Amino acid sequence: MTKIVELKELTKKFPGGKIAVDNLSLTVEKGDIIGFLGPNGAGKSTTINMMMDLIGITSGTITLFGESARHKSNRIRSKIGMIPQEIAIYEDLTAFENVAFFGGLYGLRGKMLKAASLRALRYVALEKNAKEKAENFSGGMKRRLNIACALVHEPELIIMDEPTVGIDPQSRNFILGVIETLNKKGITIIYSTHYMEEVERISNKIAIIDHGKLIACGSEAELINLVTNTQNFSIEVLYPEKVELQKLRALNGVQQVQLEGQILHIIANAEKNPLDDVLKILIAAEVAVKAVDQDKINLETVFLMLTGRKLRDAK
Amino acid sequence: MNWGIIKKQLLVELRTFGTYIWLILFPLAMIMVLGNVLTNVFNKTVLKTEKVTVIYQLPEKQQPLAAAFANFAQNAGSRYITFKQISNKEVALKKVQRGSKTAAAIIDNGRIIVYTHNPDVLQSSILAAHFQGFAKEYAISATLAQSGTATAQLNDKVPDYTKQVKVEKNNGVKQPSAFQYYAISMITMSCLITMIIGARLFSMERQRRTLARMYIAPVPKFQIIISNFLGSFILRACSLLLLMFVVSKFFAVNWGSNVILIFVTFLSLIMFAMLLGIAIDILAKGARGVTTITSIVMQLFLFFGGAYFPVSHNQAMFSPAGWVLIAVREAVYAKQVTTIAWVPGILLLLSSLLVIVCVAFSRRRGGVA
Repeated sequence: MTKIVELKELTKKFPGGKIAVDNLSLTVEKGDIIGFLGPNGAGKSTTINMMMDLIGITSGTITLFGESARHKSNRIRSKIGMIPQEIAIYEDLTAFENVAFFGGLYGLRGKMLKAASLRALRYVALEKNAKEKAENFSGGMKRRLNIACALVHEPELIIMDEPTVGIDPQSRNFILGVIETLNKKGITIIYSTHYMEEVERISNKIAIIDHGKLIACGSEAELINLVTNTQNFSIEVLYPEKVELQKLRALNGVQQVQLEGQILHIIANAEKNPLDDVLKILIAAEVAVKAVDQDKINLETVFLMLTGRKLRDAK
Repeated sequence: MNWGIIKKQLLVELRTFGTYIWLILFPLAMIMVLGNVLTNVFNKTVLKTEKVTVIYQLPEKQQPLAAAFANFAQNAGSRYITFKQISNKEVALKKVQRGSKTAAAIIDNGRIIVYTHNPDVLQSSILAAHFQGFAKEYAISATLAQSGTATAQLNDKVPDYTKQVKVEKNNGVKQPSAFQYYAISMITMSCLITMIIGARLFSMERQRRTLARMYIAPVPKFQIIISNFLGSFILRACSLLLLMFVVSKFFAVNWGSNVILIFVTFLSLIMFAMLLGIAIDILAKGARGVTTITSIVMQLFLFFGGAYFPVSHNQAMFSPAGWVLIAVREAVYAKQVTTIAWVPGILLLLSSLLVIVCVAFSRRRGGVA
C-alpha cells in the first residue's frame, strides 16, 4: 500500500518545557480512515498542526506523499484538505463565496471554480443555501460549510480536527456519512476526535494518543485483542463516598478501578476473577450495592486499560 | 498579489457596517458637530486688535521717496502703530509670514511695496490710512518742490501718487472656516483610524482561524499578507476619494489644482497608519489590548497634530497627522506645493521601515499566524 503520511519520532516541546507530542511514530496508508483518539490536550491538534507546517517541530520527521512536510511544495499542498477544530469561515460571505474563495487559493478559476464550489456544497447538503450568508447558518450548517471549504479542491488526503464538536446528533451523523462517502472514493482521512463512538463507526485504523504519546495503533479488533484477558464490570452503589478505592486496587487480579458518580468501573484479569473479593469489600464498607453488570470490552475499556483514565474526562 | 484574497477582503469589509460608520459617517458627523460648535473660534471679524507693527527697508542709494518715508516713519509711531527699519528684505518677509510683524514695506525705485500676512479688518484699515496718508503728503510736497507755485493753485496738478503704494498679500493665505478646518482634520482622522483597522487586519483572521487555512494553501505567505493589506487599502483609498468629494461639495473645501498631491499625501498617511497598526499587533503578539493601544496612539497623533484645535507649528511637527494637516492646508489655502511634497515622501519612508519591522518580528514569531 502507498504510504500517504509517515511520522517518525515526532516531538514538539513548547517554550516553557511542556512536551505536547513525545516521540510519536505513525504511518497512514492510502484509503485509510485513521481515527486519532485521545482526550483533550492529548496532542492530537499539535500533531496535525505540525503536519500542516503551521507550527514547527522540535525533532523527528514528517513525510507527506513521499515528500518532507517542511517547506512542502505546492503540489503536495494541493493534495491536502484540512478541516480545523474551530469553524474557519467568513460569516459576512455567502456559503458559495466562502467555498469559492478557498477554492481560488488552490488555483481553481472561472467555470471550474463554480462547478467545484457547487459540488462541495452538494456534498454537505448546502447547495440550496449557497446564496445565504454564513452568519445566518445554524451551528451544524456552519460545521458543514467548514467541511465544504476543505473539499472544494478535491484533496487526496483530508485531515479533520474534531469536526463534530458542539453540534447536534443529526448533524454529526450527517458529517460521519459524508466522511464515509469520501472514503469510498479513495480519499484518505485522518480523523481526530475524543468521541469513541465516532471512531468505532468510521475508522479502519485507530491511533490512541495520550500525553503526546502513541499508546496503541491498529484496527478496533486489534486494540480490543490487547485486553482480551480482561473482564469489565460496572457496579452501581448507593453510597459512593464509602468506597475504599485503595483496598479494591490492591486486590489480586484487579487492573483498573474508577469511580464515576455512583458507578464503579473495574477492569480485572479474566482468569483470576476477583469479583467475589470486590463485593466482599464493598459490603463490608456498607456502600449498598444496587447492581452489578459485566460490560462488553470496547475502546473505552481499552483506553482505560492502557492509560488508567477515562477517555472523555482525562486531562 | 492574489486577486481572490483582495476581492475577499473587499467583500468582507464592504459588508461590515462599521466600515461605513468609521470611514464615512463618523468623519462627516464630526465635521458637522465641530464645525457648528466651534464656528466662533475661527471667526476673526472682531474689533479688538493687536498693535500694528511695520518693518521697512530703505534702498542703499539715497532716494527722495526713501528719505521722506524714513522721516514719516520716525514721526508716525503711535499707540496703534510702530515702524522699525530693517536691513534684510528676506528676514523682513519671513517675520511677516510667521506673523511676528503685521507688514513689511520695501522702498525702492520710487515705489513702496507693502507685504502683509492676514491682517484683520482693523489692522488693514490702520495700515491703509497710514500709507495712503503718506502717499498724499509726499505727492503734495514733491509737486510743490518742483513748481514753487501756491498750494491752492496746484491742487489740480497733483499726480496720483497713491498708485505708488501697492498693497500685496504676502503668501495670500486665506483663513479656513470652522467647517473647512474640520473637514481637513476629520479626513486626516479617518486616515489615521486605519491604524486600528491595520491592527485588527490579521488578528481578525487569526480569531476566525482563516489565516491558518490560507497558510496551508499553495499560496506564498507574503502574497497572503500583501493581498490582505491591499484589499483593505484599496477600500480606504475609495472611501478617501468619496470623503474628499463630499467635503468639496458640501463644506466648500476647494482642493484646487494640487488635488492629486493632496490625495497622495492622505494615501501615504493611510499606508503609514495601517502598517503602524500591523506593527503594533505583531509587537504586542496579538494581545487583546492592541486596539486600545492603537486608539491611544491615534488620539495622541490627532491631538498633537492639531486635528481638534489649532496648535502651534512646532507642536504639529510632533505628529504625522500634523505634517499632513499643515501640508494640506498650505496646499489648499496658500497654493504652496513645496511644503506638501516632503510629507508623502517621509511617510512612505517610514512605511518602508515599518514593513521591515513587521517582517523581522513576524519571522521571530514564526509568521503572522
